[in-house]
Amino acid sequence: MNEILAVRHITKTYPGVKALDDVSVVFQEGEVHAVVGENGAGKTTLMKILYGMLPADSGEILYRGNIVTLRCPRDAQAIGISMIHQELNPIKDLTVAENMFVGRYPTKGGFVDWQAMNSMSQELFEHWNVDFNPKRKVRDLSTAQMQMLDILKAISYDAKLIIMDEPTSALTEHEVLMLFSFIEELKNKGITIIVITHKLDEVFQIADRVTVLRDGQKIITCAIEEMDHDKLISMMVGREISNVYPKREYHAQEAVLEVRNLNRGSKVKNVSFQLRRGEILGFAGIVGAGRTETLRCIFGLDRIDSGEIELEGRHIHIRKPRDAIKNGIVMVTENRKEDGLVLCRSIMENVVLPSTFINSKHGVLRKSHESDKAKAMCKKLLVRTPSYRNIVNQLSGGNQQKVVIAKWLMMSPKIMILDEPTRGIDVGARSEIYRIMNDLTAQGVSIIMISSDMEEIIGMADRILVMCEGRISGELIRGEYTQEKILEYAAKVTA
Amino acid sequence: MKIENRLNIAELFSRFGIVLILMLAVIVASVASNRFFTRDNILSVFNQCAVIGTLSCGMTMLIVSGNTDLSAGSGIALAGVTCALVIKLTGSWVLALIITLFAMVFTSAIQGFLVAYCSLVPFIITLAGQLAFRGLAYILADGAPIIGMGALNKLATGKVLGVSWLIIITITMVAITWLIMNYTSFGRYIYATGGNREAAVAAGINAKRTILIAYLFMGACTALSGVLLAARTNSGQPSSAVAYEFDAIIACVLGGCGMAGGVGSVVASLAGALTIGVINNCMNLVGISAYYQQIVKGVIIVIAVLIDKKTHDALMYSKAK
Repeated sequence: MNEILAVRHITKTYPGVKALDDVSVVFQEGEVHAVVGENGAGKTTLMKILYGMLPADSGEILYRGNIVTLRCPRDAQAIGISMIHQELNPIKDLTVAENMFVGRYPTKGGFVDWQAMNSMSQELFEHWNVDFNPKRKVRDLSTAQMQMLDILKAISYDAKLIIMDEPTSALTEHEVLMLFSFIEELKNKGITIIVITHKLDEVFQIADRVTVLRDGQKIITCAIEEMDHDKLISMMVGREISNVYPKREYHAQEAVLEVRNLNRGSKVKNVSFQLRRGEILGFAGIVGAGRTETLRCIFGLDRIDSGEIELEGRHIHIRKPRDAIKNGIVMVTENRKEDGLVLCRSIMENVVLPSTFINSKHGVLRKSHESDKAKAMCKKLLVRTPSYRNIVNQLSGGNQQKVVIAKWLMMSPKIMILDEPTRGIDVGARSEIYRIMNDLTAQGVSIIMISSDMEEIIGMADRILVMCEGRISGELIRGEYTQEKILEYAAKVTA
Repeated sequence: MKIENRLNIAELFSRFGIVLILMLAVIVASVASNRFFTRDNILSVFNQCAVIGTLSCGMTMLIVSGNTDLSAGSGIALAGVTCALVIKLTGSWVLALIITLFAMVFTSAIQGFLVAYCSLVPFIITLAGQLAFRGLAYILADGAPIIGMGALNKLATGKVLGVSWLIIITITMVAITWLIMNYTSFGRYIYATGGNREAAVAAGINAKRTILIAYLFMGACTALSGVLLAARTNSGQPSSAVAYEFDAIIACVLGGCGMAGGVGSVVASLAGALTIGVINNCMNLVGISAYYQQIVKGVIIVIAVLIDKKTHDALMYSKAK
């Protein structure tokens, strides 16, 4: 194999932080090269340098043996490097073909040649064995399909090396498989792929070689055969994490929450379930199966059309989050940047926000009282920051998630709903979040966890409800669940 | 840790950078004209800033909550006319103050209700208000200034311990606003609602009520600004205070209020208002024509927005480890 791209002695310093420290990596032509590391390890910085989005302080980049200077993404694209971003933003109301050719529509006599555009797209799709209709609106595509479209677009620009930043973070298991077989296809046709990922299983599934970064330094680059799961984790975190999913005892207790015949639009259909005290109840299913929608209703973020919610034996009416919060139900939402955090305010302010009315007297804040409580909570949850006055946006994903959890724990909740609690979070912070969950259940808090990560839900939940097309399609108790069973329920509609 | 220092500089600048700019403006002004640093002139700068300064209190709260009010200039005229009219009809300045206050809180309440509870865009709603209030002011005044503010004229001429009422009232309003924004739960809800409304609602905050109350407060500030301006001119003038809302918005942005909401301090907004006052005063002293002054103001807006963006980025995107 030939070397396609290499970085040598790359160093990048942000004020106060060495993001990359003398990093050298060689990428071979036609390989799938995984770059792993905890948040803040420098993966994204390295990729941004490769894609011309950031200048390196020192060091050089070689493309097929020649030193290149990449001042902007356009420079990178010109030599055949492309990047697929974590958050895709296709123009949703245009068709697949229009998105492929946006900015360079083929023309005939000054007018757009729609026919040529559609047939050129069709040819490309056929060549790559993907089943897309060029005339379809992008809005109708799934996230995975949009991703594939993005990749195909990169290829149509003659990309030889494609960088993917967390490509599977928004995908369901099934879609992940689809993407992986596509990546395989790309590899077979000689395209080099660099994947940044948090999911170590995926590294072993698709990567030929892996590079581990930690605190801005390269720890190792090696063939995947020379690596195993535990070794990889210990290299990433610099310490042994003996058990990602800590074991705990759970004995069934009385029901705390009873939900009966919940309905909302076409997303939630006749959902009924019970939640017991001190239990971790997992909600599995594919994205769009109605799990998030169901629990948003219970937290009051969405209105229910019909149905009953009973908390500790009495009916409660939840119209808005405030009603849920007052009843001791809190929710760590799926997207913390959207409705979990006020990003431009400090850690302290975010943590004390929901409990403001508890910690104030006649509308006047008792600042030192609440900040003592908040600091104690942040310490307990190991929120890592130089100061609690720092803006939340400056924290890593894992720490942000802990801030969200901290703000709810300030309310001493009875029930905590966690929607994809570890998405985009590194291994170290992840196991800390699991530990917090277990501590809570030991104190009698009941937890509902939505997760698309099979391993996580199997590792953490005491009981799993599987949803499919708005209905609960199956219930599994600890000991009897396997990935296959969950997938089977997730794909089946019970009447 | 090293990071902390840098952070604090970005944070300090976003909060108090305006003080540096104000000092710079003062230095430039005193170099440009030897009449600047006279006692009378400085006091007149302060007096001129009173109206905008008071208005900036409400405007800061609104901008931090993620909203704005373009009707404030017309509101000031309406308040002045209302106040003068009541004095003319009844002779009671107490009654005049009360009625003006209620009138302006009421008009603001309508706008606040439409924005908060009907989810209409504040820009459009308050632009409509701008037109309507101006018209209302002309109708009430029958098209001409209502002369004579009675005892309220003392607000502009009277002094306590050598400090004019204008200055005392402005500083009191700033202090009240600062206390509300920093030491009450309502103040915290303002910041949270402006910073991320979805997250605020998900944290159990009544964002709609919070925004409505911010508008009510704006109404009170408008009333007070209107009375101060009327006192200074000893008349309620329906044609006065055109575009004052922009001066207040510029003051806030110069002071570091993010137009996206969630960030800002009323003390810095006051410094912003003083900066504009000093620049205006300086241009008058050196005899720059009013036409050029408008261009300078335009440039200041651009600079203010640039500063807003830079400090915002520095705050949001510097990484802490």
